[in-house]
Amino acid sequence: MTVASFILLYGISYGLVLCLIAVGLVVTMGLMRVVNLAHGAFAAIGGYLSTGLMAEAGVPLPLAIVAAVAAVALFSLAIERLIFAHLYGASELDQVLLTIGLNFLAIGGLTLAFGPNVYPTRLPSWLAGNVDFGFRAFEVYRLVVIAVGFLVMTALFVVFELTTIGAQLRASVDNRSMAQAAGINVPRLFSLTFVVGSGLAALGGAIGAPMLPLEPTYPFKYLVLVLIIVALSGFGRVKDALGVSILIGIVETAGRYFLPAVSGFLVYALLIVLIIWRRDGLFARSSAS
Amino acid sequence: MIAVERSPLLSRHRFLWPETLFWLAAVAVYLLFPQYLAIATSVMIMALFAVSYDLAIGFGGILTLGHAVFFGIGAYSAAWIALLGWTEPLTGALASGMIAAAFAGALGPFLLRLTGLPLIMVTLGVSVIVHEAANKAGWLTGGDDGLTGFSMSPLLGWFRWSVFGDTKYFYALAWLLVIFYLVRRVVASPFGVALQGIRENALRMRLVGTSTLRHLVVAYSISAGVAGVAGAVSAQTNTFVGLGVLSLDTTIDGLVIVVLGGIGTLYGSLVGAPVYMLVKHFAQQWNPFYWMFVIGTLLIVVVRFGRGGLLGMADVALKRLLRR
Amino acid sequence: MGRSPSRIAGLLALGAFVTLGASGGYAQAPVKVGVVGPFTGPFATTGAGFRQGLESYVALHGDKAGGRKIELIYRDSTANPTTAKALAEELLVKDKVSMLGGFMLTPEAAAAAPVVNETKTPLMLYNAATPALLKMSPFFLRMGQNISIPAELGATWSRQQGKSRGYVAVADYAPGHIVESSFIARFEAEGGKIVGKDRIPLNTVDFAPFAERIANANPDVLEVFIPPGAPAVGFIKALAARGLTQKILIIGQGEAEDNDLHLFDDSVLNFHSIIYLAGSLDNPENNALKAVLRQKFGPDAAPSAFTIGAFDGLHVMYKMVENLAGKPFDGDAAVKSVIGYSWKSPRGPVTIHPSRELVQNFYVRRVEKVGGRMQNSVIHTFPSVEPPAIK
Repeated sequence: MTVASFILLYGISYGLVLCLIAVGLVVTMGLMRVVNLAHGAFAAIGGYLSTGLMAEAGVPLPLAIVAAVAAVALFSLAIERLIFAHLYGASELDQVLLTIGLNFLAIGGLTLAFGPNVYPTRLPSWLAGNVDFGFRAFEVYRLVVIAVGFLVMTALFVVFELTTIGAQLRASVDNRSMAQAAGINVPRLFSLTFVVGSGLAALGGAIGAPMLPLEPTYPFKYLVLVLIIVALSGFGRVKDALGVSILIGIVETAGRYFLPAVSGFLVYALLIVLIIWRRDGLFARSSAS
Repeated sequence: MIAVERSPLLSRHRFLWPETLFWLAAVAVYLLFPQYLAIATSVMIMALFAVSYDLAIGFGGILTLGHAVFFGIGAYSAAWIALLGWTEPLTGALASGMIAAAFAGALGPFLLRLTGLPLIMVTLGVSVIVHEAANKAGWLTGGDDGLTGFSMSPLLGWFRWSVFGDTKYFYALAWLLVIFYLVRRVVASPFGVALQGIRENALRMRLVGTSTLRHLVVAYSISAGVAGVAGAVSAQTNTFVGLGVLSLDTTIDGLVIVVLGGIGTLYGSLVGAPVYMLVKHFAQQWNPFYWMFVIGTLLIVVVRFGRGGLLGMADVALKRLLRR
Repeated sequence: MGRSPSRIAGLLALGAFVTLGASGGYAQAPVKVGVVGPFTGPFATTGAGFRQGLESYVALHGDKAGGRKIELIYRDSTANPTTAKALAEELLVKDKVSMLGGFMLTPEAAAAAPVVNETKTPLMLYNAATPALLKMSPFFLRMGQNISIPAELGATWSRQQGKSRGYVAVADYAPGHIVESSFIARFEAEGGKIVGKDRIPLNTVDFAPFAERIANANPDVLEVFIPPGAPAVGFIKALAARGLTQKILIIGQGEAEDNDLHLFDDSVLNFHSIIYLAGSLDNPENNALKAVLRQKFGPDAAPSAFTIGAFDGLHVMYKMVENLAGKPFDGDAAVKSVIGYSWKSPRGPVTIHPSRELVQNFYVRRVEKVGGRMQNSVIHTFPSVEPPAIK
């Protein structure tokens, strides 16, 4: 019982952080069909900014996170207009290379600003420590992550499924030209989506900093995991992204717990099997595209 | 689909006199900079790897982020062949290349049914898995410490390997020369033309009756074989193989060289390799952060403005000059 | 291959060197030393430590030995073995160094072994700890430790503290495997029981599952070997979150050196480590080193394993040059001349063992808060531990 609860709690919290980081990419890749390997950089910058504000300027945690997310969102708007706008028609290889280049720039910038080592995160006292449920103790921090993660994802669903903009977004993902013909301002939607996606990544990086340590190579380190989630979710499927992320979080945690010797490649093996089996995404239904 | 420029300079089957420039420069390096032969040799090895990568990506349209796997298989094979007692370098490298090609031939029929992002993902995944597996299989790969303790017998029975690096340099250069022209022949052959057709429009090729998967597997295997030879040459000239041969860094180095030189030109890899490796060597020695900024900017500039890489830019410049 | 103009020139130069040497004019030429380390990239702090150790030694002892000037040439390997080997070759062929130092990672040193064997060049391993390295070249001298020693001492120490249920958690690469086997062999030989062992993949970010496994096995002592930096910080945090840092004895080696303590929070308090140095040692050599470090590199500079390895490495190099004063430098003779040499290092008294590594003290340290700052305080010393003979 304790083992199962451990794996569920830790797996879900880990998966939710990955989901926050990845969902932005799921939507932007689905909508704009741009392979953005630099997405992780937004998460890294979000994490560094919020940790930096707390450590250097003594800003309280919630405020620091909000400030970091806002800063990254604005920054990503500039990047979208200046660089990504040119990528929309380019070949996949070009997109891969250019975004890898952006990653290198981000890593260089982070090293310059914060040094080459790990940037320590300290939890404020109200988050540190454990809460005892009787059969075992759980970290307060992880419970908060789960709460915040589910809240944000629910808000995202609501927007996606129940609002007009969400409908417009889904329409544009399914069939861009028809959506445009129907009068939807797709370029503006692109920018908005990109900004929101990057902001979510920054949120993931900021909340997840105690779990995923901040170092300059962060953008590359979690790139593979994020891409796995995107590939398995299928383009633009937010619900699937949540399911896939939690699955990966649990597989990784369970793998490390039960089979530590092979845990290093468990997720990749899973990825290969699933991609070859379900090319369009794990829970795909056919869609007009 | 990958955009590849068409022009006389980039014409892939005719031998043009400007090509000799590279080989002449390579000999000049030996005469003028004998103390830098170690890095010059690694440039030759990376050029060979880049040629193999160009064959896969530029000609086959196979978007792989895992090509270092074949480089690594070639390297470890060559090391083991020498460790088991067969220290003749030429046959050792050839055998290693064939082992790598065999792996590609086995993997290809499954892998190459995918295209686009799924292919990128799976090749990336395979690359990471092989890297992890090599780390764990210490009895096979030496793990983190790598494989050492082997040495090669004199080349052609006469040229001894020494720390001065002459033999190593010419060995690597010779392999590059021979394989480069062999690959050129392949690319100019009917097979090569069909391959490019598949890259441009696979559906149409199938309608014409070409078995696209078989062509892709053959191309992939040849490409892997060349990458394997490059890995073998690396193992033999360094008398050392570490996990780095399987790393994503190696793949990215190769990819950047191909794109920098001009994708789909083959010759571009020869041009791109020295430029990239030298910039990397000196930027890294110069300043910690600058290398990241340099390569990042390089990539962005090449993609945004350098249509067709260095050779493409040279072609544009040449056209402008000739118009006058 | 011996007909090219550059080769002939090289041979002539070599001939000139030899004749000069015979005439004694050679004895005044500077001795060049090549230092190969990671000065950029993720291990840049190691390279910085090398440099600080070398420059401190020169500040304290001058740049001459045996009447000859010692010239240091630094090259950046970025911890890549192929690069390290190429740089070693370049240093020997182009810069004509007589000795080499550095080579932080075992594969870097392994890659350089054939080169130094061919040129008979003494090479100081400033920190590399794999036992098998010394077998690869008779010119390797180790200034760090043999990684099996602190693991065995960890077993002995924990048995002395009455611990009987041992768990071993190491990073999944060669040095980790050696720590695992050394600790388990000694712990069981001394009557302890091993309740679990884990090899943690190097790419692990979230250590919580491993902390969970350890907690569920209920050990009373945990031997760890995790690379310093992000992995060590993450692992200790996970252990603390699971309540283990307060309940059981945790012994490592270099995970929480003084220079790295600022990366941790209070979860690292009470972390034990066994290693051959301690910043808090109060002997004249260590105090002099610390003073020079603070003066040259700022008030926060402190000796690390890399600093001390480089410092002592240069000391041995000076001794070699002194021993060969008046004669041209010969690698074989140089190495043989320092076997058995004893001196007082900032880490305590050391002697070069016939196996070409050091007989030195090993200190059991515990992370404590002293005057508001965290530091590693020495709580026990194993004096003059002999390294195992080379098999």
